[in-house]
Amino acid sequence: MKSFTRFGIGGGVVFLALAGTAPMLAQGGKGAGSPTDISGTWRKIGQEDTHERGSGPDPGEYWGLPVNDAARMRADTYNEEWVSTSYILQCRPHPTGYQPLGPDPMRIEQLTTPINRQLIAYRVSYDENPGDRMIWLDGRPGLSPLAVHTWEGFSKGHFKGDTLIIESTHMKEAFHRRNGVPSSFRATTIEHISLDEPYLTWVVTTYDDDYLTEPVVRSATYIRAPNVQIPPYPCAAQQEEIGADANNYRVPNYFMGENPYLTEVAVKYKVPLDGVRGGAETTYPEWRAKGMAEKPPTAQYTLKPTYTDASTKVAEQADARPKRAPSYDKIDTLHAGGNVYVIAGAGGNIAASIGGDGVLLVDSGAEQASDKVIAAIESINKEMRPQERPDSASPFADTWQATHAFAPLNIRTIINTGPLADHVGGNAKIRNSKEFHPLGVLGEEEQGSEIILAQENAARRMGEMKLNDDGTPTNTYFSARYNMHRFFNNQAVQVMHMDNALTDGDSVVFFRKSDVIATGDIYIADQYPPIDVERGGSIDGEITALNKVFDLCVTEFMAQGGTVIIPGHGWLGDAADLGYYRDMLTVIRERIQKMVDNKMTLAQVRAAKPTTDYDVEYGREPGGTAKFVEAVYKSLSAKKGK
Amino acid sequence: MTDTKKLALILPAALLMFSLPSTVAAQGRGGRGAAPPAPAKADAPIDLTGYWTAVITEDWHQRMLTAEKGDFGTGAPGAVVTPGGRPGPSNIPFNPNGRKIALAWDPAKDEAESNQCKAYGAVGVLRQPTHLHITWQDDNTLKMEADFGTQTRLFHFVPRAAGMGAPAAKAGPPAGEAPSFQGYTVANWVQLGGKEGFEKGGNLSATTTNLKPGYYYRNGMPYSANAVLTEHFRVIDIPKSGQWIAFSSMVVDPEYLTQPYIVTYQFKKLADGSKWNPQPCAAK
Repeated sequence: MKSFTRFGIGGGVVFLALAGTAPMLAQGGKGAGSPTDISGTWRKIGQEDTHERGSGPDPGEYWGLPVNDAARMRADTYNEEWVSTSYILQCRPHPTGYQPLGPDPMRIEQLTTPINRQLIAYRVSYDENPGDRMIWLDGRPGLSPLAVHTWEGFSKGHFKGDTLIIESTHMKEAFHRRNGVPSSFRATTIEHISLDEPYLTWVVTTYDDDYLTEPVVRSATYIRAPNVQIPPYPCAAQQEEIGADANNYRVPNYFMGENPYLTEVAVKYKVPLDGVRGGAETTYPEWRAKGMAEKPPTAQYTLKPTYTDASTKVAEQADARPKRAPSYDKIDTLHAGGNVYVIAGAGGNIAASIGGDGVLLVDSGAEQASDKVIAAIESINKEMRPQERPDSASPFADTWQATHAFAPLNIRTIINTGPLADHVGGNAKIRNSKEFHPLGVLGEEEQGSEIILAQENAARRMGEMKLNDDGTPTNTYFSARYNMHRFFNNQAVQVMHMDNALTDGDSVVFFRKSDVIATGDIYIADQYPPIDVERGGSIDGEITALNKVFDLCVTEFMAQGGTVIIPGHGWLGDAADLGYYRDMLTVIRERIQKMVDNKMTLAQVRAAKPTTDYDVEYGREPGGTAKFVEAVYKSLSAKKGK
Repeated sequence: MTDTKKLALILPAALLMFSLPSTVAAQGRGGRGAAPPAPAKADAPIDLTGYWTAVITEDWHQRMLTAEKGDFGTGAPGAVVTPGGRPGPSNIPFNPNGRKIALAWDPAKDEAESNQCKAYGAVGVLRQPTHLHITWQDDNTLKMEADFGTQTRLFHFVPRAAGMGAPAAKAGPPAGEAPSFQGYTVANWVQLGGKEGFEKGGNLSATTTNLKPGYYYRNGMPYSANAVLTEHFRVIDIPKSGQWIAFSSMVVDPEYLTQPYIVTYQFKKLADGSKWNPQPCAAK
C-alpha cells in the first residue's frame, strides 16, 4: 500500500484536527515534560538528496558542504573498502550530525522518572544504527572533557515554543558524508526538531572547525509510522569480509593524486568540477553565475588536486609557535572503569587503581605536579567505601561505621609506561611522600617489591635522563609480558612490552577485571605519537603496538564501549578511537614510505605535506608535526637502508 | 475520484478549519466580549522580517544549477541505474503523468510563451539560489520578495475571530481572482510555550492555492494548477551563525504526484540588503 493512502483521507483530516488542538492540550498539563511530544515510531521521507541518503554518495561528491582542503584531501584519499577491513570496526554507525539524514526508521521513547512521572529524556533508536541515543531534558550537567566520545555523543535538550533544541558534544570521529568526508572528534551539533503532525522536521547543524569553514545546516522529514518495528542488534561483523588472504590491519586508501574516481560524479551529473569539490562559497546564491559559466568535464580522469587553504597550514603554524610551558593548574579526575581512574593535567595522564589494597599508579606525571596528584588521589580515596557484602547479613557489629571508615591513603606501586619526562617526573616525589607505602616483603616496607616498575630499556633510558635516583625503577622486566606478582585491588595487572614503538622501552598496562588499558603516549587522543627514533622508536613498532592493544579490546555495542583506553594525553577512549588512530598512522606511513621509495629527501617530504588532512585534528601541538614526520621518515629510511 | 484528488480538495479547507481555532486556543484568549483580535504583525511569535539568503546544502545540483532534462534529483537520465536496469531513485514522487511531463520539458517553448517564470512560482522560488526580503505590507499581510526571478509572495493572515463562538473570517483568494505563479497564500501563526517554564515560540503556517502550473526546479519538474502548497516557517538561532529560517514545504498534487512531496530547506539572515541582486526569470 502506498504510504500516502495508508494514512488515507480520513487519517489526514484526523491528523489535521490533532494538529490544531495539540497546542492547547500540550500546554494544559502543568509540569508536563514538554510542550509537545515527539515520541513514537517514525519513517523517513526520502525526498531530499535521495541518491546520497539512500544508496550513497559518489566518490568526490562534496557539493553542498562547506569543506576545507583538509577535508577534501582526506576524502580524496578515502577508499570505501576501508569500512569492512577491521572486524571490530565494521559495525561503526553514523554520528549524530549525519544519522538523522539517513534512510532509517526510528523510534523515540519517553523516559520518565518513576517518582513523579516527569519526562527526563527521549531515547532514540534507529533501524540500522546506534541504538538508545539519549537526549537528556532534565538539565543535567555536561560531561567531563576527559569523557569517552561515542558515535551518538552526549545530548541535552530543551524546548523553545514548538521546537526541541538539542546540543550534542563528545562525538567520535566519523563522516559528514559517507564518501569519506570526515567529521572531527571535536565536532558538535545543534538540532532543531519540530512537529507538524504527522510530520517531524529535523534540522541538524554541525560545527566542525577542523574540517568545515562554517557550520553546515541540513534537514530531514519523518512521518509517523505506527507499524514500524525496530529490530534488535542490527549489525553483526563478518570476519570473512576481511578476506582470507588479507590481514586485519589493512587500511585501504589512495595515495594523494591517485584516486581515479574523483571526477566521475561531475561527468555523471554534468556539473562543473568547482561545484563538485564543495566549499562554503558554493552554497550561496552568488556562486550560481560562476557555476553556470563553467563547463563540466565530458570524460572521467584522475584528478591531481592541490590543497592550499588555511586548514593546510595548521601544523606549520603550530610548529612555529613556542611550546607552551605547562601550568599544572587544573588537575582533573574521572572514573575510567572498575576501580581505575584517570588523573589528567599533571603532565601525561596517570591511571590509578584505587581500592582496599591501596593505590597502584601507572605513571606519575610531571614532578612539579606531584603534590596536586597526591591530593587528587586523596580526594578519590575519601569517596571509596568498603564494599558491603551482597545477599548476606552484615558481618559488622555496626554496619554504618564499618562501611564509612576510610582507610588511609597508601600508594603502593608506580608502573611507568616509558621514559618520557612528563610521565615519570613525579616518581621520586610520590615515592618519597608520606602517602607512599609499598607492598613490603616480610612486613618490611624498605624491602618492598615492585615499588617502581618499568621495562628494562625504559629504566636504562631513565638513567640517561639523570633523574633523581629515587625516581628510577626498582624493578624491571625483560620479557614481552610481565604479570604483577599478586592481584591488586582484586584484579590481575599485566604489563606488556611494546617494542620499538615510541622508544625501545614502552609498556602498556592492562587492568583485566576493570577492562581498562593505560597506553602511555603510544596513543594520544589528539596528538601524533612522540616517536623517538634515537631512543629506539619507529613508526612500524608504533603501529604494531596499537594493533596489539587493539586486539586486546572487546567492544560493547556498535563498535564502541567495552574496554576503556586511558591515553597518554587527552580523553578516555575505546577500541574504535584506537582503531582510527591506528588507521591514521597507517595511512601516513604508507604515504611517506612511497616518498622514501621515490628517494625524496626529508625536506621534500615535509614540503609535500603528507599529514595535511590529519593535522587539523592531531597537529595543533607546537613542534609535534614536524618531529612526527621526521620520525616516520627516519624510521622508514633506516629500514630501507638495512 | 482518487484519494489524492479528494485530499487535494479538502486539504485547504481542513487546514483553515482546524488551524484557526487552534491558534486561538493555544493563546488562551478569546471568549465573548473579548477585545478585538490583535493584528498578525503585533501577534507574531517569531520575527521573519529582514534580508535572508538561501544556503544550499541539500539537493544541491538541482537547486544551484539547472539540471539536465529528466534529472529527477539523482542525475541525468541513465546516470543512476538500479539493479535490473530500472531508473534510479527519484526525489520527486511523480506518477507516470508527472514523469512524462517532466521529460517533455522545453525551455524554448516556455520562453516563447512568456512562461519563463514557471520555476519561480510559490512552490519553486524558495528552492532557488535566492535572497529573500521579508517585510510587513500591512498589519495582516507579510510580503516576501525574492531577488532571483524578482518575485513577490504575499502571506494573507486571516483576521482571527473575536471569540471562540464568533464565525471565522473568510479565507482564500478573492472571487474571480485569476490563478498566478505565486497563487494565493493564507497564513496564520501557531504559537506554543510562554508559560510553565517553556520559552515562547511558534511558526508561520501557510497554505497556497490558486496556482498556475509551474516547476519545482528549473529543469521542468512540473506541478499542476491543482497543487496545494503547505508551508511552515520557523526562526531558529544557530550559535556562531545567527538566525536562520527553517521551512518545510509540502505539495499535494493529485495530477502529477503519487504522494505528498516534502522538503525542508534553510535560509540564513543577512545583516543588510547589500547582497540584494534582482534578476529576471530565465527559462533555463
